[in-house]
Amino acid sequence: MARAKKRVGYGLPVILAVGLHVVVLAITLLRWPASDPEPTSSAIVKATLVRTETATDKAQRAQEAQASAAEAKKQQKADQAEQAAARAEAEKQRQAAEAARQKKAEAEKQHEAELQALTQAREQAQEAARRRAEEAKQAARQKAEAEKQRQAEEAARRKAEAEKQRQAEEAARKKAEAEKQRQAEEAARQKAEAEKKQRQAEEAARRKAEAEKKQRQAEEAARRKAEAQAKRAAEAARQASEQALAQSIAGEEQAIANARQAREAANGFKNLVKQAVEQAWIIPSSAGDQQRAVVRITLLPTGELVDASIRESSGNAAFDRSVLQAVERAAPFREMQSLPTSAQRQFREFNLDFNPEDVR
Amino acid sequence: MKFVPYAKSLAVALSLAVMAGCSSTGGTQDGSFDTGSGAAGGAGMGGTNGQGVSSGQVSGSQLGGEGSQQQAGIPDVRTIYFGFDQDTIRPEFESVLNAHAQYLRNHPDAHVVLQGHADERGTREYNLGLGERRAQAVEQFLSVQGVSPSQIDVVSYGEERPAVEGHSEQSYAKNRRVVVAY
Amino acid sequence: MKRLTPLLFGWLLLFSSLASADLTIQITKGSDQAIPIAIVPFATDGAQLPEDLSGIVESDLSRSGQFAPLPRDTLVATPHSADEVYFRDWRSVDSNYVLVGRVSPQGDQYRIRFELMDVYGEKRMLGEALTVSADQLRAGAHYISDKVYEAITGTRGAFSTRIAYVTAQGAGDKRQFALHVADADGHNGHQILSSDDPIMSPSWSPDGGKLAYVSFETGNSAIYVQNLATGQRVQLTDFKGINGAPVWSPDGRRLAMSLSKDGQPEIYIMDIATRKLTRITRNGAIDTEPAWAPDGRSLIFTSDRSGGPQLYRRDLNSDRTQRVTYTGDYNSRGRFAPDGKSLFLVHRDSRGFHVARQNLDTGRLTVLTDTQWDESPSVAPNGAMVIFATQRGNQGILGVVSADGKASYRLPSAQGDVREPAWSPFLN
Repeated sequence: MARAKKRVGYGLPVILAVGLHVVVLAITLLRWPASDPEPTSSAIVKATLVRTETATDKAQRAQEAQASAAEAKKQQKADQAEQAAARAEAEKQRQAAEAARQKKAEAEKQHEAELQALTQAREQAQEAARRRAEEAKQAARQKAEAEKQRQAEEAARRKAEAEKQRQAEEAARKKAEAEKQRQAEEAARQKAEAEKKQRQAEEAARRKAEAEKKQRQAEEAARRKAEAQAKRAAEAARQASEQALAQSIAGEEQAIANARQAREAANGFKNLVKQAVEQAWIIPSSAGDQQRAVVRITLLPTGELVDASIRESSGNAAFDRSVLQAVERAAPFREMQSLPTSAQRQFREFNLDFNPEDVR
Repeated sequence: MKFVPYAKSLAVALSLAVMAGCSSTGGTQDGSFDTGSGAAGGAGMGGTNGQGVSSGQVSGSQLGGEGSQQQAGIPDVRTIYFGFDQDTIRPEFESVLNAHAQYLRNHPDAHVVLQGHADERGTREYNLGLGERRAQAVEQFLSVQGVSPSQIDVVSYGEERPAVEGHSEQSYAKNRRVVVAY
Repeated sequence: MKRLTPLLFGWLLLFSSLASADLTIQITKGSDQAIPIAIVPFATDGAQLPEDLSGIVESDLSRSGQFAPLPRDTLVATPHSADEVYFRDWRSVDSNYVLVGRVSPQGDQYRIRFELMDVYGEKRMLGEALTVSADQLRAGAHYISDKVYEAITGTRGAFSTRIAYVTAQGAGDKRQFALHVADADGHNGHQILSSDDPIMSPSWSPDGGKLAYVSFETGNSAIYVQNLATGQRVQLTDFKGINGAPVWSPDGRRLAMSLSKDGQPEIYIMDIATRKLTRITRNGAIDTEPAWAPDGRSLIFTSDRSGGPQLYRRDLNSDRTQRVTYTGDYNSRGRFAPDGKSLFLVHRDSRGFHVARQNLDTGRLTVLTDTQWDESPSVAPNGAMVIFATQRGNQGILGVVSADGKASYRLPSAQGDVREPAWSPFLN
């Protein structure tokens, strides 16, 4: 069979192909504006203008164009205001940031200045310390040398003083020896004188004794006569006086025994009063050191308190009151009734001397 | 060469390409704050770090991690302890202070307050002095290591802020301390 | 003659024992018991009083350590005025004194009459009348305690004074601090400052109207002065470093303080009106805790310039500084007794930290307490008692000890820790 080559025309397919492409393009372009508003509505900071276009409906477009134009104007004004506000805020932030930076810079400068001052001070202090250390070393050397000299001088002084002492001791020994010799000589002289006096006294005594012997012999004769007469009278008198003596001695011994008892009783009573008063005495804590008061106390024979009064004040009213209270609390002293009267008399009126020993 | 047989496939490919390109919506959300998140080497927290971070701190937080807690870079151990009646730095704490010294040298904008403390024994005002002595010993150590004095402040709390209550030696040992506070 | 001599001898013996007609017995010691006093509950004519006046007087006087009030169930009679008192009743119970009184309501006020009787002297020592409002009843009772105390001991009573103190509640970062003022017996407390940050070292002005104190509310220690009536306050210092230990001078015009702005704590004196500072110490040691002598002419302070804390005295006229304490290796926080003759301080020995008294003439140091963590002693204005802070278990409490160490008591505290007490001057 025979094929007839037909010339295929490219024109129609090309036109169709291009037309298809145009249609496809148009379709995709149509999608474009529909998807646009979604992303822009989620942006916080920015507000973008939304434009709607319909390629097919011109009438709608005209109306919408008018409406959108009006809206667009309002939105433009709002956008401008917001942009202006955003700019203003941005400027404020910038100014604040700049101010903060300036403050930091100033603070840092101050820090640096203080630190420089501190480091300078430290350096100065270190230098001063070094100088002082050096001076101290020099001073120490000088002191050491001075001390060596002083020690040498002191050693020389000690030697000189030791020699002086030796000389003094030798002089003293010589003086002592001289004095011993003098004393020995004087003692010998005194002994010789004493012996002379004794001999003279003995001779005088011998003479007196001889004279007295003669007198006695004459008297004895007279006495023998009188004695015989007196003996009889004397014996009678002796018997009488011996009896009287015996009585008086017995009475006296009793008196001595009573006196001892009275003293013991008095001591016992004294201790009793002391203990009772000490137990009853509350020393005020405001008492200073060395406080002392004397109370005069008067008792009845029954031991009851008649009067207690300050005889010597301590100068502190609380202390004075405390000692009076101590006496009043310790009274009455009924043990007084068992005292012998001789002892009682001491305690009718006596003193109490308050003087605490261990005041803090 | 003949273009015609490839024309159709080229046309199809072109049309597909055009359609793909036009259908994407692009990434213009929150555009201005994301410059940091895209930076390389971040610890992966960059995205969440983006909000509310002022420009001054961004530089500090971005520079790599050394095992950070709240802020990356500051050494973990911040309390050093002292012996009874002592204000000398014990050898076991020197490495701690060296780490702080290194951090402070590398971050001239960083600032510390050295808080000095004492245990409860003795009188309060005197213990303020003891706490200050200890904090000053730490300050001295750091400045010898090259830390600028402008980065350091010293405060003493004496016995007023104990870490541990109680009258035992163990409690006292835990209260004799200096805290390095950033 | 020979017969008479024994008789004469006997009579001489008797006479000799009578010769010391001025006999004197030496009393060299007494007891340091408390003085027994009978405090009879005041008559109220049937009215119900919001306060038990005689009970307040009883606890005031027994807290002083110098009085032993008789228990109420041992009172043999209940007189209410001097003419109802039979002295032999009270001698029979060994009471040295009797206090009687009567309270009569007069409108919204109360008229109080009280009389103090000396039992062994059998006389009235004291009698007064005063009129108070209902909220002043406690103050009226403290007034009676002051008068009774002074009449019997000769020393002015300090029962109408106040105390300031710091409380701390909670733990760790949530700890709350507060500064309080209360009566000397702990009643009527109210808070004058509350803070999340520590408060320290309250100090009363000599007129009792202001408190100086240290607060950490700015992040560092700083010294403030607060007017108690108005609540207004002024920050006096904000130096770098420690601002601490403010104490008012006796003339009320200056504050001594410890500042470490020049490298380490030193003592300074600030003129309050001009804020001008005068530096007192100059060395590398800690110098802190100053206190003024009552005549204002010298300061004592704590310094560890010798290696450990000791007390030193600075004469403000001659500018000479002298060490004062030599006992032990830790002596700090000294305060003068009002007569200027002794110091109260904190002393450490092998058993712990105690309140101690040092006599300035003899140098003798006497430990007054046997608790172990004592600090912040503050002396009552009559010199008889010292308030201080101590620990009971794990709680900080306030204690009071008499100046001779013989009596002591604790002040109750509600919650948390109490510390840093300061005793006010006389307020009336």
